[in-house]
Amino acid sequence: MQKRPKRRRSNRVVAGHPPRRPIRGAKWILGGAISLGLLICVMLSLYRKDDPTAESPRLPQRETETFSPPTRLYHVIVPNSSDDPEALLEAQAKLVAEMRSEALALVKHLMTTFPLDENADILQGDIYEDLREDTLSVAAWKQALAKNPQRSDLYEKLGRVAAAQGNQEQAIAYWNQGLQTNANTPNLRWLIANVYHIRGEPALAADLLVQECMLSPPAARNYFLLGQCYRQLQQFEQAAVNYQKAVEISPDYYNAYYGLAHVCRMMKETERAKEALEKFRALKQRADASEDRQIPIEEITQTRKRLAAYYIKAYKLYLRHQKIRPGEPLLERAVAIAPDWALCLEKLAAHHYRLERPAEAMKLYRQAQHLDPNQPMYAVNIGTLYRQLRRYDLAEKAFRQAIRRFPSYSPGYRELILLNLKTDKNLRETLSLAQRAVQLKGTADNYYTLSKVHHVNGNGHAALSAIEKAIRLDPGDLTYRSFDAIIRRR
Amino acid sequence: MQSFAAVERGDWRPSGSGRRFCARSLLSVICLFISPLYGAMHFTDATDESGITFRHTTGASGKYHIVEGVSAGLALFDYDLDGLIDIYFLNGSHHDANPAGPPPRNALYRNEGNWRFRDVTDAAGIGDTGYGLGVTVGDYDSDGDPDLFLNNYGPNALYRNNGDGTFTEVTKEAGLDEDTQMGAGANFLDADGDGDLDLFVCHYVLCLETLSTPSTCQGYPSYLGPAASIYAKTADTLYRNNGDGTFTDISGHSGIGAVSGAGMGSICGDFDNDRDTDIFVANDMSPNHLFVNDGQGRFTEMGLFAAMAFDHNGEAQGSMGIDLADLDNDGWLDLYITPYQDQWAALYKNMGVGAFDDVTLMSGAGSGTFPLVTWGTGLVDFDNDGDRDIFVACGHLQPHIAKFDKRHSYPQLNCLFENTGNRYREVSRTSGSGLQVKQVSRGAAFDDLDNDGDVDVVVLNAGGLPTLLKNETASQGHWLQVTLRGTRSNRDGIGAQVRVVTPDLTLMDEVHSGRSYQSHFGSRLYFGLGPRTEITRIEVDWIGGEREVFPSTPVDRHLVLVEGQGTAP
Repeated sequence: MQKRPKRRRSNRVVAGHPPRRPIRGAKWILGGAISLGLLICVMLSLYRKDDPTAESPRLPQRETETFSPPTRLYHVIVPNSSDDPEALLEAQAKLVAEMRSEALALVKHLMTTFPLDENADILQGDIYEDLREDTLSVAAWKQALAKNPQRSDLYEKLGRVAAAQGNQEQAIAYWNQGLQTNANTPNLRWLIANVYHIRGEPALAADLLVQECMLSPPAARNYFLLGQCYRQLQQFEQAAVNYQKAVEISPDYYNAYYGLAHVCRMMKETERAKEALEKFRALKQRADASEDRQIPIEEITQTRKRLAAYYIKAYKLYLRHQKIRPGEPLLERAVAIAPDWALCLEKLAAHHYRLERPAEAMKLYRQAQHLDPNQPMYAVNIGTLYRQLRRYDLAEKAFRQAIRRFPSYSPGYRELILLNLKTDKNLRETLSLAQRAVQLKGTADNYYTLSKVHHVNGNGHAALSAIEKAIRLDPGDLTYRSFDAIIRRR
Repeated sequence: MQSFAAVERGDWRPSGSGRRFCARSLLSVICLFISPLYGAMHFTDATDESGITFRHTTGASGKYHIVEGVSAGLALFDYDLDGLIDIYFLNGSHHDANPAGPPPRNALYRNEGNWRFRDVTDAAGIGDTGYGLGVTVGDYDSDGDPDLFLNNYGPNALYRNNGDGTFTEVTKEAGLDEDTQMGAGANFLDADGDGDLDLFVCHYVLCLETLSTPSTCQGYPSYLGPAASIYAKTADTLYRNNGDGTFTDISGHSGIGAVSGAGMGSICGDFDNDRDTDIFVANDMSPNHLFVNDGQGRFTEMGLFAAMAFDHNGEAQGSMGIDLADLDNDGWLDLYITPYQDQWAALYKNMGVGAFDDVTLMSGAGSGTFPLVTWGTGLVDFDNDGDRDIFVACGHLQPHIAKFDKRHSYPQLNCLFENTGNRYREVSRTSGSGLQVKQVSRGAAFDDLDNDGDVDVVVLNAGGLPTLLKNETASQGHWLQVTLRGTRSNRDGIGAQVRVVTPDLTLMDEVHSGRSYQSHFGSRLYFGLGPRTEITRIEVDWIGGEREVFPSTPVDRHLVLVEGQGTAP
């Protein structure tokens, strides 16, 4: 999923999908950027003091060569009953080994191309971790830390490996080091608290989690673990409060319902316990039935996906260095390796969109939609692409289909509103659409759209109220502020 | 109160409640200080000296059939009633219809005393060649000797003990020849309290299709778990004993057949202290089942409501083995479950209100088990200090695990946890050479093999020789061993609860048939007494019968308590 750009342009409609395209007249801007390069570097280094998890500034890299990935495809072996099982196993093992080699060759290429970028080392460490090569993964992450000592997120990885090896003290030491580097690094307090919890030291764990809840945005898992700690401490009321908070944040959190049922029973609140248990049962059944919980029988498909994911990560590295076109073969390779994985197609579609190739992007989104028809984002993005191709009739049809099929997915409504505003059609329905979008999800984006609708309808007060809500939700967004200024001027 | 001829009465007679309280408090304090002296458990490997040459075969065919990884259990029981506990090992088998050479078979070893065992399989006629998984022991025909039921992959087998050191296979005559599902644990129990033993047969999974391509992990062949789509969960079976040597399948009527799971270990016991026998099934990667008995042999599955279906996070575990005992001496049976790797062996404390609390983390009872694959288990007072310790048999499922995951190995060390009163402490590495044996362990069973008053260990290792661990703990406490003989209730006293009451402590245990990982042990009950030398009385709650109270007895001896008759000679 692409990160939502902060600045909006008139053609940006679906939050995050499709991704931002290069700004027209990029050459001029690039020229300006080069002349300000030194200043940016200084600013970035200053910025990193405040945000140590920030990635390295874009240091000069070697000339990027277009990567020529292998063309070998890894087909799943479909056996005949007459096949010798030993031979089949050997063939399957060979395929997996080849995929491992390709992953390592990819990372070697990245290390050569971006020798100063710690992200290449991190990817290398991640690949070794997947291969259960603890020593090599730790070495790679430490190398990344040497390049950028402010990457406090790496301590999480180092600690995780130590914990998996049974060395809890070492794990805690790493995570504390991460917190020393940046006290706001996400996850680390939770990880330390979790170790205390499983060691049977719930009071220590609870102290840390209370801190974490105060310092971080509300996270269901913090409250769940806090509930578990209070449950261990036999403070059932406190436990119930925290389980309740967890399910308020994440209504599908069945583990929290399970904990809630248990402590309610301990407090002899039988009805409440029953209710929580029923909720747990229903949610757990649904989660167990979901596709990602199914155990794959053969390994090739899984390994192919993993290899494709490495290519997607490698592409992101190219993207970070503004090497969009040279990165293209990486995404093409990802698609070739795992053609049945919608995510690869989506990433390549987004790439084409970036390079202003809507027709190619459209084709890929359609394929992705075919593979994963339950993903509402694809349906909406197809409409968005039609709108950019000025095929407004088809765009409208696509948005309306998306709304019909995914009535609780708010971007569908938002995109249709923007189309209506652009084409000056169906203005009557826009207000109800915008209100529905806000009702479904009260995001800044949706309030911004509602504000626009009110503005067009001449309802200045309502427009102002909506844009104020958008600004409250996302104070850093300049588009909202400028629209606010426009409304006020009127 | 029954007469208790063999028991000498003690001198201490509390006369008033205040005096009793003071005396109990004083004794408790003394015991608290003395108990740590009983903590240094020590085991040596006695396999070589035992003369046991049985080697288990997994039947590994290269096809990585799920059954190969999960075989098998073993039984400890005194088949010839000579007072020494014998060993019966289950074996895997070949998948091929016509394998070269004689098929692998189970083996019975007679205990000759002094840690010598003799293979009497042929003489006893009990060398079953089925694919062995689970075993249980009980006197189903009430003729005074223990019979044997084998829960195989393929046809099961019931062996009737002829009372002369031989067995006769009576599966068909008994009406137990229909079941050819993939077996798991098995248990004799008196489900309806009518005085004879019914039979619970647990099932693992149904194979929906033949797996022609074995699964691989990082390119290495590996076994798939029961959650894979080629397997399906299945219901267990309950047979009612008709009292004439035959059994009738009552799974539907009894409620046992109403739910499905991937059963591994099973145990029967009185979970709610209502004087009937309930059934617990440890399911692999699916919710565990607690079948609560209404006293008439009809069961309701209450695992979720009793908080035993899932672990403390609300997730199903890859449950394997189980044991049931009163770990905190509060008069309620607690449960311990061994799971697959990356999960903790879980201790469920019986809260006495129809619910259990997963106290794994606070008790330390699961510490160290997270990276291991754990199977057979026993809640046993190895140092006779008055509280029960925990033994866990370990061994990975995947033969090639070390090649693709350096954090794990196929053979693994077993675990021992010492009960320190309020918490468990892992003492595996400091408890003698017997705990340094690295094998691919599956079933584990616990009994006093040398009649020296402490409990020894026998472990079945997949694809290898078994391990016999001699308990040589130096500073042992006093002890009492009890065997029950039912007259009105079932002959073995299966399901009966025994309370050994001392001035400051009451110890409770129950006779179980079938437990641990698909194994059987503990027809004799073991009570560690620590420094206590006086037993006030022994109470027995017979299943389907009355509570019987036997008067005081000296310690350090094995008693046989006969229902309604006092001790037997």
